[in-house]
Amino acid sequence: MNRKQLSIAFALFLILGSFTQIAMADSPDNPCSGKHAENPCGEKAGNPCNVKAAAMGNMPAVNPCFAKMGTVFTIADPMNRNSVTFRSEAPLEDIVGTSNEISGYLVFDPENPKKGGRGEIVVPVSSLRTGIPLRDEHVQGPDWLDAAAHGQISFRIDDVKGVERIKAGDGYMTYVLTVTGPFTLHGVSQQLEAKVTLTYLEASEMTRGKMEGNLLAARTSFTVALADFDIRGFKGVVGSKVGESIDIDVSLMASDAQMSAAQTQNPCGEKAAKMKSGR
Amino acid sequence: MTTTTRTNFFVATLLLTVAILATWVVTDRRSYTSLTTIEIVESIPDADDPLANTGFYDDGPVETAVERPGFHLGLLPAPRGILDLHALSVLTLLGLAWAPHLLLLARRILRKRSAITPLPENTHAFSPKTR
Repeated sequence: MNRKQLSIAFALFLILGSFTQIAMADSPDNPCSGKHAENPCGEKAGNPCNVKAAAMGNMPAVNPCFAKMGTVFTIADPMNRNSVTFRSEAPLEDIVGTSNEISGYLVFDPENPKKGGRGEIVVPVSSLRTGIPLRDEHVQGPDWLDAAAHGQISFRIDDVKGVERIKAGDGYMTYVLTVTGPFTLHGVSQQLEAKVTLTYLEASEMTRGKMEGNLLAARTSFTVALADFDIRGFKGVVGSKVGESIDIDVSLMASDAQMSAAQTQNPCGEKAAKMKSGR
Repeated sequence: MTTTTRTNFFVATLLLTVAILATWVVTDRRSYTSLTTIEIVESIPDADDPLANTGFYDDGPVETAVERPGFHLGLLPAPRGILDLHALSVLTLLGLAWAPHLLLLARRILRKRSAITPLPENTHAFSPKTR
């Protein structure tokens, strides 16, 4: 092969390389292709964000495309001050339980809330406490939530609507909005709609007492029916000692300061960055 | 055991029963014994809470779940092992207190039964054989 042939081969290699990059940019596997109107990353099996997110433990991976919608706030309070409370009211017994191990993320643009938002909240079943260790074992056991088979309870926010600003002031904005998405419990997913109060707090001396960075506080309440999630429990217990419906209250605070750490964990982040830069 | 001792023992058990049931009533008459309680507590947000005046709490009290130590004697035990404080309950304590009495009662009944052993069939006090 002479020098001329070599240079032609090199030029062909460069041209082919460029075409490959252009093709990749529009590929359905590209999480940032923007081909999917609803979710820019789609729900395709080939999407690296969906595949790898499942393997990341309690912290769901943040889809890098969601950053287009606003700031990514990570739910990871090292002091576990976030809380999920569940209440069961039944003729024979009232049960109150809680968990402080909440992780996940919220995507929201406080300056432009109409852009919508995304999010995912995850609670490990093993973290639920009711005040009686034996009852906790039963709750997590195979007859109830089956922690061994379905280790997490999650709520993924796919849509945000009805955004209404109810209060704003120096360094804060409070909104009321409605979120919808699949709520997964006992391995069963059901579409859930919940009204959420959301407050954005700019970083200040006061907020630093809670967490670093700009903060996004959220609280919501909703009710789930055990039968909808195929939770049967011990025979005759649901309806007498355990309510047929469970009231759930969530109160959490997320911060945008932890995003840098979360991004390094995100397997999609690196790939998306490479794709954007064309490397 | 003399009759006086037996009576004293019975009165002591009655008093213990009253004490156990009173404890159950005082500690909220729960179904199961617990050593910690998770309660929903309403409180006013602290002044240093950055969310206090933002409308986040609807300008009302804050409801939070609080886990605090607190012994509640339940009707039924909820133990995880043999030596577990959750084994204390109205049922187990009353069972222990009344068990000796039940044993004594059972023994007395058995004794009485053996004392009135029936005579063999076709015999009675005035039968020719017994005369």
